[in-house]
Amino acid sequence: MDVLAQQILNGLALGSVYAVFGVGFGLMLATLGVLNAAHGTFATWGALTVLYLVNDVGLGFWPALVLGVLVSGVMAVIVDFVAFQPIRRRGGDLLPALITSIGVWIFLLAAARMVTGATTSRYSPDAAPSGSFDFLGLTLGRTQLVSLLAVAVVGVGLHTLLHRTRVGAAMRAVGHSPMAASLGGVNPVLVVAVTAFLSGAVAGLAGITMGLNTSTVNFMLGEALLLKGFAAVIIGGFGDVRGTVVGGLLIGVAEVLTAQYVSGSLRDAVTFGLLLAFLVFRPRGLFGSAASMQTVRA
Amino acid sequence: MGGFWDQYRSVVEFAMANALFALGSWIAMWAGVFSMAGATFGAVGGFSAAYLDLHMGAGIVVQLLVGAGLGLGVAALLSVLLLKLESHWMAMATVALVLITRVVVLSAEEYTGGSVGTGVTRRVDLVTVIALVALVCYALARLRRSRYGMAAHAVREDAAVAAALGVNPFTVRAVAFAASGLVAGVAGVVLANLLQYIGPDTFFITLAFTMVAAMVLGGTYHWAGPIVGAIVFVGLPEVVRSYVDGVDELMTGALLVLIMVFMPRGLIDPRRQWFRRRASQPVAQEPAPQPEVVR
Repeated sequence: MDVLAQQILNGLALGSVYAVFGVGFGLMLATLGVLNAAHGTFATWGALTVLYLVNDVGLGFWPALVLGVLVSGVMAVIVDFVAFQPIRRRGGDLLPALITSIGVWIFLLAAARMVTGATTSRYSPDAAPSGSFDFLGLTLGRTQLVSLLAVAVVGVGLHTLLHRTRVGAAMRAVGHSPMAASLGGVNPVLVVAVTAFLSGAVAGLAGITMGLNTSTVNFMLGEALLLKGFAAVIIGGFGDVRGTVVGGLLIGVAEVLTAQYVSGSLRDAVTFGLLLAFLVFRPRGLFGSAASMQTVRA
Repeated sequence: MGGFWDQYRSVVEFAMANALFALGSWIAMWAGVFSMAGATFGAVGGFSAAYLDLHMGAGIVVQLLVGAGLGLGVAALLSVLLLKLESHWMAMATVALVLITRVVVLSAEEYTGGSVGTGVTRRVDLVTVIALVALVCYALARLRRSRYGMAAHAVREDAAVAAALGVNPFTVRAVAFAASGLVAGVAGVVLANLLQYIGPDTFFITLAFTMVAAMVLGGTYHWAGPIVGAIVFVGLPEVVRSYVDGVDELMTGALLVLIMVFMPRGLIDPRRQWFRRRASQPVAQEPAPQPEVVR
């Protein structure tokens, strides 16, 4: 029983990283209409920034985390401006934006490999949170606590932003129809930039916590996140922050329990099996509505 | 000239193998199905070729026939499951399929070698690969103006109108998807023979991205598009690498973005004037001008 409870907690901690990434990825998909293959590299670059600041510059972990998140956000704005804006302006569909995002992915991945020299490192243990403590009779690592806090902050924050504020209303309006939004007095260019920033920043946060939890930072860090985050978005029902969070946590728990009770090699099978099953039999996901499917079709 | 061939022979071979994959994706795209599942069918072809080679010593002809047949069969089975999905979900489902392919390859150890992978005796040469590409192109060129070709084009442009004209969009798409499986299966056999080693990451997301990028880069409105796209996408970085080291991938990425931004319909576009004069036959109608939308 204790083992089960402990593994569920571990699963939630793992899933919270997927969930945070998925929220950012889903924001870009639902609002900007881009299935962004390069999103994982935003996470990688966030983690690499923190790695550089903590290990080489000697900055504390928390200021480095803030700067890493900012770097990922700004990177997403630049990428959106260079690679996605020209296609959106033409009224393009999902396909050309997917192809340019593949180009960006190749570029940023190769650049990450060049700066790291394809080596694997980790945040300096003196600076980064480490160790563990007792939590209701279970063991909770401080790094796990960071990712659980991250999903709480991002999930609640972004959901509130989207549904309780004017900026959020503008973002949803632009996601639904940019032309109607601009007729309603929304500046779509600004809203797109804000959305891209948030989506990249959240991906950066996911990458940083991923590096913290696995104690490994390398140029491939974001690739696993991209696939798992994609699964979280689809399973949760995209266009819905709550759904993505639940989807991510579900995947995390399912993976850890599969590894514990069935076989470690079947972890990915469970996640991607769920992904395909949802796509084929319930494309709207757990929480999505038919209406949210319309936005991407446009 | 001899020196040129020695230096670039393998580049041409890999470009042609990728051209086969891109042609496979293009055949599905012909009927409006955006699919990355070519990597899955490639894995089916590649690993069956490796198995035939290792356990039966089968020659290339047997390998190609089996790869084509299995690719066709698997694609036909999957088309029942996937083609009912709305287009973007279909595209994402093919991504999911590629992700699952790796899991299957890893767990079916006695057939695929699991995480270690498996070796293949090389039994193809450049002539065979080029001949295969030429064969596919010949078939596509003949089909372009055929009843099926017109139907596929109509389904891609507007499935509802095509249905009203008596074309069954589902059948047309299913045939295109199965045919794309056949070509991708053949491409998998070729790639396995060229690489002489295949593992779980050979037929994974990078290959899936490469084939669709090559297809869109070259142009999705003519069968020559994917071939040109594969040559540019695979060949150019290799040529660059022999002069400047380390920047080839950065260049590939940047090039892909630039071409998509400035030539959204790809390098080969039958709508362009230069092609019209040459072909002197009716081409696709201009779609209604899109309103300028700033998102």
